[in-house]
Amino acid sequence: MSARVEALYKSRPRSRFVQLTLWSFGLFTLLTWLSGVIQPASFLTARRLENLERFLTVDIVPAPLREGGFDLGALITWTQGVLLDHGLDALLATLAISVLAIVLAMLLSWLFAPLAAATLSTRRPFDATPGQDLFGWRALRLVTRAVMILLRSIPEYVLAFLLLAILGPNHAWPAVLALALHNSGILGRLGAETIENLDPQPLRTLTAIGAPRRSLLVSAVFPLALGRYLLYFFYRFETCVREATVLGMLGVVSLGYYIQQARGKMYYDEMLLLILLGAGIVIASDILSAVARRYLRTAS
Amino acid sequence: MSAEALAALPTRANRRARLIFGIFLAALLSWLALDLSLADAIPRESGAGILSLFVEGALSPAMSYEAAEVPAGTPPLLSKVLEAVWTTLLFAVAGMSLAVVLGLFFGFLGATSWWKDDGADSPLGQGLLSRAMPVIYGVVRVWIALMRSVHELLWAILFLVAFGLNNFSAVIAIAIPYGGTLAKVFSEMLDECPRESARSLRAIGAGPLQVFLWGLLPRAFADMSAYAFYRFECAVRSSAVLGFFGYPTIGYYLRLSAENLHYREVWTYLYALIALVLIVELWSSKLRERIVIR
Amino acid sequence: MSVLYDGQPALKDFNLSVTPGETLALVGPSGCGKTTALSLCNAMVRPSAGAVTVDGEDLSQASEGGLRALRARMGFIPQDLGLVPNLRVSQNVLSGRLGKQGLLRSVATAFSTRNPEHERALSILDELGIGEKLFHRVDSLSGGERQRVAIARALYQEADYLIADEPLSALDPARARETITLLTEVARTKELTLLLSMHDIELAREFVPRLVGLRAGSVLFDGASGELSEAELSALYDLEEEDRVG
Repeated sequence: MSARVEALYKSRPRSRFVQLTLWSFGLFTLLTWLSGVIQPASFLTARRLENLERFLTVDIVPAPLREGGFDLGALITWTQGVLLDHGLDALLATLAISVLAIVLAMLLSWLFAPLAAATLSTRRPFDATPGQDLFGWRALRLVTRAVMILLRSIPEYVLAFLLLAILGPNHAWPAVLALALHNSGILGRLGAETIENLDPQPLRTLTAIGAPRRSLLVSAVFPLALGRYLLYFFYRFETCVREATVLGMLGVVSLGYYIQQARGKMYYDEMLLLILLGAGIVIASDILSAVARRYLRTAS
Repeated sequence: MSAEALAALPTRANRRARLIFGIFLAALLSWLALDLSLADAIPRESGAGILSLFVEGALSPAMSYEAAEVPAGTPPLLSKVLEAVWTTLLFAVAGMSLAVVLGLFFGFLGATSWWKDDGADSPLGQGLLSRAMPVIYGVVRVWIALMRSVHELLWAILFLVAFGLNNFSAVIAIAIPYGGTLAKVFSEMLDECPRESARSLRAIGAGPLQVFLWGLLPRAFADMSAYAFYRFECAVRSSAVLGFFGYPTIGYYLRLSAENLHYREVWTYLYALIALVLIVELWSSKLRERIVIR
Repeated sequence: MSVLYDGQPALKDFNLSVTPGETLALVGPSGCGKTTALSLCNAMVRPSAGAVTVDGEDLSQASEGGLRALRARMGFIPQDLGLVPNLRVSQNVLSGRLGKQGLLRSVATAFSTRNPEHERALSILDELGIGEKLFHRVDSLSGGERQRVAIARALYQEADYLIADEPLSALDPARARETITLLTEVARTKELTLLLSMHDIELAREFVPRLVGLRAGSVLFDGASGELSEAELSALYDLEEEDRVG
């Protein structure tokens, strides 16, 4: 390679930060796999393989089929038994928890988003030259953002665990509130970003004719941002259903509760069926949310 | 705005209004189905006591153990917190590194843009492959849906039952659903990125794989890495929660402290987790600024 | 030869033959079928009736491999340039030979900077006056510089033909003059067959020896630019006016 190509290569514009990211992640990944904490080979010990074989050939085979080979009638009776006994109720509860939670999250985020959006939560909203803000506005934004960060960085599962201790068992509030709080942090941030990315021109016209902040928010910002916000809403609904399933493992009555119970009783066949049921409603909600998003997008 | 666009406006608003009405109706039905009473949402007696401990803990997280007596030789709390943070990070990185490989592989197979081009003949020609690809694509899409529709904690339980407690089980419990999600989003990004680079390369004779590597992957790369970073943030949280099942991550210690009503310790772990997530989030937003296509 | 798009004719009874080494421009109002006509040459568009032959070979008979080999001989600069904005100039230029390389070789070339091909790319970029930008990202370049990168990619390809679709449409008058000079110069020195499409007839007459006027998918005139009568040119122009009214 000629000296000139070499020199050009050395002086190429590049971002130190991107390189730092590449190198540090590469090295860290290497370190992770070499650290000895995670040993893929430990999977293959004789005892574990034996365990796996029993799991696959005996444990997860539906109970009526373990002896005497395949019998469709018995399989259907068994599946019906599990579903009617608690499967369908749990399915409904899981769905209800996630719907209620995501709606509460939406309401909370409608409070957070305008307060956190830098273009709105400021002395002169949507001004071309905003200038220095007073302490009050900056503090308001900062506090809202900090609350949202706090809410979204604590996993739903941990929130539900803590709320369960505070609110007690036997009702769905811990799961509903955990999902609602966590998702309000996420939807609030996405909503604030949506407001910040709005085209400021029409909004400036309104502020120029002296529209007060309240009517600006209700009659201009909200309708303009709603379309995009609803897309995010349905994305989050999907994840909410996923999470609602597992929160039951803490003792709230959703699918996870019965999965945990089946596991405790070592009814692994039933456990697998319930897990597949959970996968089923996740796929269904996935499709529902895709349909809703298309319904919004294709509006003519 | 054209006259047509103006005429279209009410419909769009109508649809939104209908959707929002539907959403609130569903919420009302859910409320009734769950048989919730508002009174239950307010902590009572022992719950109120725990709440006050909890709030107190938030304001003064523990710097050393709350228990009066600690067995001799126990490492100080903060070093235990650091260790928990470290394993949480290790599990997340290991899980994500596998997930990215899975996501790239299945995302590639689940994308159509490199073997199908609207308004032009198939880049694969008329051979066997061009007939096989739609089938492979369909199978891969179903596979991706299966991977991601089972929650990581449920994968963890399955592996726990099948293999026993094993760190690698936790790693693949993260890797499978995250790999599925990455594959889904990667394939969408590969299919939605602008096609003009790919077309111009095809016009000078590049084969489908070359078109993918030069024309599609680079164009989608910025979005793909930003999304992978966002998922890494989620993986850190998932890894922490896996501790509830006995793995040595933050969740494990957090649960122990909470069961002993040591809520100041709980908050030490929570703050450690929040700090970890915050660092990843800041890092990823800074990275996104640098790699975005101008 | 005809081309239909969704049942709408994009070209009808279109017939054109090009001699090797020639420089030719398709002129006409936008939507008259220039892009379609150019895309026929490298089989990115297939005629619904009729045939395209290159060096005596019928493109509709060509195998996928044969088609790739043929496309590798045809440089192509689309209207939007078709560059990859977030790759470096070097990678964009080196991608010019993808059609001539196997997958492994092309990957090896892209990932190693210590490779003699960079010398070749650099000397081409130097000829075009942007050698210093070899390792810059394309999206950090100006519009004129990007145009040169696209030309460099086509030159590095060492094709026999160069097809450029509306290379001047996005440029200001001074830059347009500079680019058309560059393209015709390059075609002359490298003995390339150059096929252009453009809508600025004045520039076309000044730089391109043979002009083909297209209107609504049909050839209106075809001749040496010096011999074209004002009547013929204004016919294209008048019809264009009429199109607008209609």
